[in-house]
Amino acid sequence: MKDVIILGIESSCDETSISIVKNGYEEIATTVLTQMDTHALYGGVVPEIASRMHTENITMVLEDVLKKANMSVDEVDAIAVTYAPGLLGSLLVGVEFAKVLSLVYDKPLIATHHIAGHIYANNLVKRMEFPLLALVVSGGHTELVLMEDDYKFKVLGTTLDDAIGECFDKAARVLGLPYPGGPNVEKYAKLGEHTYDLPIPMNNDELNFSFSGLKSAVINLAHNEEQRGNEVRKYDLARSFQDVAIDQVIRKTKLAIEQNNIKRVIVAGGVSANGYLRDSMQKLCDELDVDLSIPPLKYCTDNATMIACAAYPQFMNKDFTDLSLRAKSQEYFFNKND
Amino acid sequence: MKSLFIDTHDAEIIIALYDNKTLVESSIKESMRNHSDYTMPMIKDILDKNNITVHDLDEIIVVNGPGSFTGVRLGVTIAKTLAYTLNIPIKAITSLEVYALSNSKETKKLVTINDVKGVFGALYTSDNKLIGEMFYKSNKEFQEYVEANHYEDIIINSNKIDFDNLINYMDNIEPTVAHKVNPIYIKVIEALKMIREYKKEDLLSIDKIGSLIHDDFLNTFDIENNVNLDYVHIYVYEDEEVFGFIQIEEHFEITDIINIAVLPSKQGNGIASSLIQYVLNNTNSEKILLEVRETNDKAINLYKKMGFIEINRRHNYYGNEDAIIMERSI
Repeated sequence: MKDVIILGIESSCDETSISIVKNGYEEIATTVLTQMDTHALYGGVVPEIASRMHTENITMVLEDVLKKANMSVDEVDAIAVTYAPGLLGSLLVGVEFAKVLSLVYDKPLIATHHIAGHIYANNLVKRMEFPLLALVVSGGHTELVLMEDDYKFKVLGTTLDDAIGECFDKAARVLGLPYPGGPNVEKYAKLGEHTYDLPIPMNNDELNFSFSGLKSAVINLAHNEEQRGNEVRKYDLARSFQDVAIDQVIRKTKLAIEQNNIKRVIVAGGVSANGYLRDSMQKLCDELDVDLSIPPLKYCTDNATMIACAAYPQFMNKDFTDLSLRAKSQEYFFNKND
Repeated sequence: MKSLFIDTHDAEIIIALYDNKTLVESSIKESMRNHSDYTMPMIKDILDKNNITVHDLDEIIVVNGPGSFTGVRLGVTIAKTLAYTLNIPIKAITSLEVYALSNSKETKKLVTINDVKGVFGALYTSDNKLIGEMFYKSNKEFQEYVEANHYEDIIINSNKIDFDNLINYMDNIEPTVAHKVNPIYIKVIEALKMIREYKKEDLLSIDKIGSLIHDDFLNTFDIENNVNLDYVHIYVYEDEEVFGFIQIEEHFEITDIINIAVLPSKQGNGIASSLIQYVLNNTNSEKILLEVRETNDKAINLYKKMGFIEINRRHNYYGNEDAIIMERSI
């Protein structure tokens, strides 16, 4: 079968990234703006006065990635772009850029969801075999999803309130930790002990999650200590919080594996960078003799490589869009009725 | 010679196609706050209707702001990507220039853009040469300026584009490298406009800022004697008071940044980057050099962000710390 080469574009947040991927799993070349060799560019990276400079840099990122791949856009089979979710002003630069490439080079345009990207980043490590259980943990998603095939999702459990990443960010704010909140909670937790008594959420047989009670408990605890004039032991509170939050995820994943006779598990989303989650998942899967795949850390953050991977099954299904594609700051990825 | 004109700076999206400087067709659509839905389809439509493709285009003209933040971003992204991928010339024009040249007056012309941040205006001669730009934080302040100068009759309110004047005017504009066509945001102009040349009265403020930053500032920087040398320039950033300054020395093809400092309480607001940007905009040199203490991570990160790279080190230049030498070509 002929190779399929997809050029992926991702601009949902701070970094402009373009990647060229073969057959949905083989990375040919990737450029993330912050990694560019400034010498190779016209006058270097454009100075940053506005906070996000996608418009200023995107054509240079393209030039760089094509040079690395030693290819022209003519040689790719499709253009894929993250259209949701993210910062609207950032997303639409990638989307309009992708539309122009699609028009000029007469290539099909593929609208890819950011979360699909995180799931399909797993193909870069080991090609996914179905059926499998996907644990999706990010700033906007907390789901246990049964995947019978490409893009066939059955949501087994989801959060009833906040997403886990959101909860980490809020806890970080209560603890007074700087941006980025999630990774900093983990850093503090490493130095603390589980000494604070926090409620265990959703301690039942359901596969759904809840994080708002835990969030409130952390806020109240910090508030009460302050009122009493006691100092909050930040390291210990970070540790106690992280243990309870991640343990809930592990407990629900275990239930889902047992209830559905699962043999393969993948983890996806920004929170999969959390070391405690990675270690605990590995332990769980070893114990239950289940095959586990978690993307390496560099694919857990936002990047265009995963978008080009996720677009491959869309390409095979001719799931194309047109020039009226609209960027969306929020869009839930999974259809709950599937 | 086919030219495509793209203007998305306002609520109305305007696309126009010219053939040999004659308007073939223009299309205008309310963006309904969604420039993204319509702009590319409008471009495709206008090409299809005239039985041509993007590959028949010879030139792109784009309005690069100021105006709607999202609109400008989107139009500029489309325009520069078209020009880059088709390898054809691109020319940028500001929204203010477009309005100035679309309205004839025998006197000066005052064009304004209103923004949530305030009123941005530009004053042009009757033959559309820029006299000056201004920014007022409120409509009231702007009205006071208008009244004081008796400018009531020269304000241009119409936002109709004169397509013939526009294309003739663009004839005299040099094309830009596609990578370098960028949006003009009012925020940026506003920051850059707060920067001006050093005046004698600034000496005290500069001493104060300098002393807060370096212990040995007064001994090291003899501003009073230096500033009269014709290769030395000091620019200050003034809002309510002087918040920061940059001192440079221009030696033909090389400009050295001798000193840059921002009041500690005003740091983190982009003042230092604006000062460096101001130097980039106003120097005739080919490269800029600076030295920084190896432990000054905050400054090093800022310089890196602005495209400076480390080219050398002076060992133990600051006592037992190295000086990192950084460079950026213009």
